[in-house]
Amino acid sequence: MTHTSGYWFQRWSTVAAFLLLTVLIVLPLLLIFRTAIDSDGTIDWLAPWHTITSSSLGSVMLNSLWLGALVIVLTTLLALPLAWIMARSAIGRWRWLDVILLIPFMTPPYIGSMGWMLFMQKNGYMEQLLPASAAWTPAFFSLGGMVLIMSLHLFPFLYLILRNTLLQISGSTEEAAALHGGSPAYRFRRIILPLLLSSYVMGALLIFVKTIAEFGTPATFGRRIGYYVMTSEIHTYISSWPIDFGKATALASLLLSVCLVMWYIQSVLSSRYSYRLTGGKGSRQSGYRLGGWKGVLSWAYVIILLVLSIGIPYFSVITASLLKLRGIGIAAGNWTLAHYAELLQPGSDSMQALINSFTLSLASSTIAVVIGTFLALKVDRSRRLSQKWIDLFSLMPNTVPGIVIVVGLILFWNSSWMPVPLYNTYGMVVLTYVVLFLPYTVQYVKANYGQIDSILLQAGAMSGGRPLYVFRRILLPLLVPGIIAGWMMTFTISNRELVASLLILPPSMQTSATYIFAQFEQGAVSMGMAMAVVSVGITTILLLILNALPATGSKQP
Amino acid sequence: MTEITLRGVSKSYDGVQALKPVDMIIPAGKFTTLLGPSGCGKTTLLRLIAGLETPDSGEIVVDGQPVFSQTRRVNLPPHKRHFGMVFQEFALWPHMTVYENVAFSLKANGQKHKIRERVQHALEQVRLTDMEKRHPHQLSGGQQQRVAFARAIVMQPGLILFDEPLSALDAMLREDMRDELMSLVRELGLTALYVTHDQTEAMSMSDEIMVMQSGNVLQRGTPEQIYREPVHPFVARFIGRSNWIEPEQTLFRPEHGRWEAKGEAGEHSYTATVQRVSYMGDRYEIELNAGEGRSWTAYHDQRMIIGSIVQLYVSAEHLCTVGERTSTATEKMDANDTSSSSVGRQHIS
Repeated sequence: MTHTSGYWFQRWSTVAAFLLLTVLIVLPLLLIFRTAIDSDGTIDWLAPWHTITSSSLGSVMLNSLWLGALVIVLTTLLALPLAWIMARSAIGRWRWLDVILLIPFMTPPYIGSMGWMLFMQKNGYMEQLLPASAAWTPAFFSLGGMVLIMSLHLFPFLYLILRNTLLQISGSTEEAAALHGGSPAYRFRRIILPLLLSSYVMGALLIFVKTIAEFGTPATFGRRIGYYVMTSEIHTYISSWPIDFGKATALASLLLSVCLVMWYIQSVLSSRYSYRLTGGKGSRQSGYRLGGWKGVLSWAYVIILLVLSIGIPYFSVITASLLKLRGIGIAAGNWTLAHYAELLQPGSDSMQALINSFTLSLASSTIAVVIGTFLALKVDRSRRLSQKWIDLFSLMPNTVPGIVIVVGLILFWNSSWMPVPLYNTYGMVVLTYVVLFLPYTVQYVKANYGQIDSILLQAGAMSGGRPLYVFRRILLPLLVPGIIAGWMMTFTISNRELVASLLILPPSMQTSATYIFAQFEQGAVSMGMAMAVVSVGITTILLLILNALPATGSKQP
Repeated sequence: MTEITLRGVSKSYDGVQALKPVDMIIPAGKFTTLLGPSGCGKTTLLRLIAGLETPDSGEIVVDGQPVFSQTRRVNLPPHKRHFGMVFQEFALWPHMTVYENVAFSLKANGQKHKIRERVQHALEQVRLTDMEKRHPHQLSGGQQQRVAFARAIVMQPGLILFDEPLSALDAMLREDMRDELMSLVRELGLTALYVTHDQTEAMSMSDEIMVMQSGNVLQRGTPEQIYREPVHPFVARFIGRSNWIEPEQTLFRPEHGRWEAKGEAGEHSYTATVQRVSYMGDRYEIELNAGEGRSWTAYHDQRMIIGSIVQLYVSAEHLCTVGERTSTATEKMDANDTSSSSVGRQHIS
C-alpha cells in the first residue's frame, strides 16, 4: 500500500527509541545488578545480601531509611501549616511568595548544607552575631541538624502538593458540606482530611525517595557528623581507595530496589486513591479570614520559614564569599570583592571550571532536548504497550537516584568489552548529564504534546501537507514552549550537578560544582562560596530571563 | 465536482463495528448530509473518506479512481486525496496568522504561483478580507469558522467534508453561519458531505440526507422524504416529533392533529385527555394521553385545561405507516431489508 512508508517509519523509529533507551538507561542499570550478583566469576543471587550483612553496610541502609522517615516528619510539620495558610488566608494572594518558596528547592543541596555549616560551626556566623549561642550550636551538628537541612530543602515540594489539593477542595465542596449541616470540625474530619490524605501520602513517599536518593547533604554535612547513608557510601566505594565495586553495586542495587518499590506504591496509590477534584486556581476560596493575632501569627510563620530555608544559607554563602579574612569574621572593613576578581580571572582554574560547566551544560541540554523530544513524540498519548515502555524507561532517571545511574554508566562504559572509548572523556560527562536529565524534556514536551489536539495535524494532512511538512510547519512550532522549558531545566540543573561531575569527570577537569566541593573541603571557603554565588546567580538569572520571554506559539485558540 | 462511490466499506474498533459494510454514491455537486446520534458511525464514515482512518474492507472511488481499495491494495494518505475539510472546533493552527492558515495548503502542495491572490480570493469569498494578519485567538467564533472554510476551499477541491462544523458555535451564530455556509457551497458548486447530529441543520441545508444509527444507514432521501415517509421507527423518532398510533408502525406528526372535524372520508378521530400544557410563545404545546400508553403532542392557539377530555382528528393522508413506500418513492431500498439483508451489506444508491 502507498501508506506503508509512514508505517515503516513508525516501526523503525520505535526500534530506534528502544535501542537508544536500552543503551543509555536499561543496560547500565541491569549491569549494576549483574555486577552485584557476580561473586568471583560465578553468579550468586545472594551475593548482595552477603555483602551487606557481612559488613557495616546494613547500618548504612538503616541510616538511609531512618533519615527518610525523619525528613518526612519534619517536612510535614513545615509544609502542612504553610499550605493551610497559603490556601486559606489572604497571604495566599501574594503570588510572588510561591516563586520565593521554590528557591529552597531549586538551591543545590550541597550549597545549602555548606551555608548551614558555615553558619553553625564553631566561630561561625551564628556565634559571631550572637555569642551566647555558642552554648548550643555544637548540638546542631547531629542527625537533627541534617534532618533540618534536608527538610528545609525538600519542604516546598510537599507544600505545593498540599496547597494545590487544599485549593481544589475549598470552595464548593466545603460549602456543600456546610449547607448539609456539617460543623467546621466535622467538615475537616470528613471532607478535607480524606481528600488531602491521598495527596499527602503520595507527597510523603516522594519526599522519602528524594531523601534517600540525595547526595549533596550526606556528602557534606553527613560526612562531617559521621552519619553515613547509602548514597555517600556508594560514592566512597567507587571514588576512594580501596575501590570496591562489589559493595558499591550491592548498595546501589538495594537503593535502586527501595526507590522502585516506593515509586510502585506511589503509582498504585495515585491511580487508586486520587480524586478528580474540580476547579483548581479558578475555584472560589472559602472565607477563612485570618485576622488579628491569627494573621500576625501566619505572617510570622511564613517569614520564619523563609529566613530558615533561604535567609540563613544564602546569607552564609554570600557573606563567606565577601569576607577578606575568615578569622576576623563579620566586621566593618573586612569586606572585599577580591575573591570574585580572582575567581573570574581569565585562565584561572576557577574560570576554566565555570566555562566547563557552561559548555558541558550547553552540549548536554541541546542533545537531551533532541532525544527527549523524539522520545516524547514516540510516547504520544501512551496508549500502546510499546509507548508505555518507552515512557517508563525514559522517565527512569527521575525514578532512580542519580548516583545509581552514574554507577551504572561507569560500569557500562568502562567495561572491558566496551568498544566505544567514551569513558574518561568530555563526551562521557555530556552523556551522563543527558541521561540524568532526559526526563525533564520528555515530561515537558509530552505535556505540551498532550495539549495539542490531533485534529490540528489532521487538518494539515487534509490541506495536502506531507507528514514531514506537517511535522515541520505545525507540530514543531507548537512544541516550542515545551522544548524551551526542557532545555532551560536541563541547562540549569546540569550546571549545578555535583554527583555525576565528581564521579565521571576526566582527571584534571573541573566544573563549578566540583570546584565548590573541592574548595570547601580544602578550606578555601571564600573561593568556593564565590563560585556558588556566581553559579547559582547565573543560572537563576537565566531562568528568570527565559521565563520572562513571551512563549511564542503557545497560544491555543 | 467530484463523485464518491463507496463499495462494501466497513470499519471496526476493538471488535465493535462502528460502520457496517456500506455501498453508496455521493452525487457530484450535491449537498449530502450524514445525520444521526453520536456513535452512529457518521463521523467514522467521513474520516474513512478523508483518509484519516483506514477501512477494514471495501473500496472508495473518487471519479473512477480508487483512493482506497482493499483488493487492489490502494490506500492514498489524506494529503494525496485533495479534499477540503472543515473540522469541529475549526482546528485552526494557533501559531499561524489567518493568511498563513489559508495559504498552508497551497504551500504544502508546492504551488508557488499567485499564492497571495488565491488566498485573498478565498478570504473575500468568506468576507474576511481585512483579517489576514490576525491570529486565530484574536477572532470571534464565527470568524474562525470562516477561516476554516476559506482554508478548505482555497485549493478548489472537488469535495468538501464537514465534520459538525457548527457545533462549536452558539445558537444565534449557528443559524447565520448555516445559511452562509450553504449558499457558499452552492455558489462554488462543490460536492459537500456534511456530518451532523442536529436535525435542523440537516433538514435546512441538505439536498439529501442519510440517517444513520449504530453503524447502519437506515434511510436516504430528500429532507421531505425523510420527514414524511420514514422507513424505520428510529428515523421517525429522530427527525421531528412523532405521535404513534400503533407503536413502531403508524404515526402522525403533531401539526396534523386538528381539534375540529373536517368530515372528509377516512378521517380518524381519537379521544384523549390533556396531560400538560406548555406555552411556547407562538403556540401552546398540548401533551395528550390517548390511552393504551400513547402519549401525543398537538398544537393549539389557546391554553387548554389539564384533565379535560378532547377529540383529535387526523386526515387519512397524514397517517404514515413506517416502511410503507408511496408510489412516487425513488429509493430502491427498504429499511427492513437493510438490517436483515442476507449479504450483510447496505445498498444505498
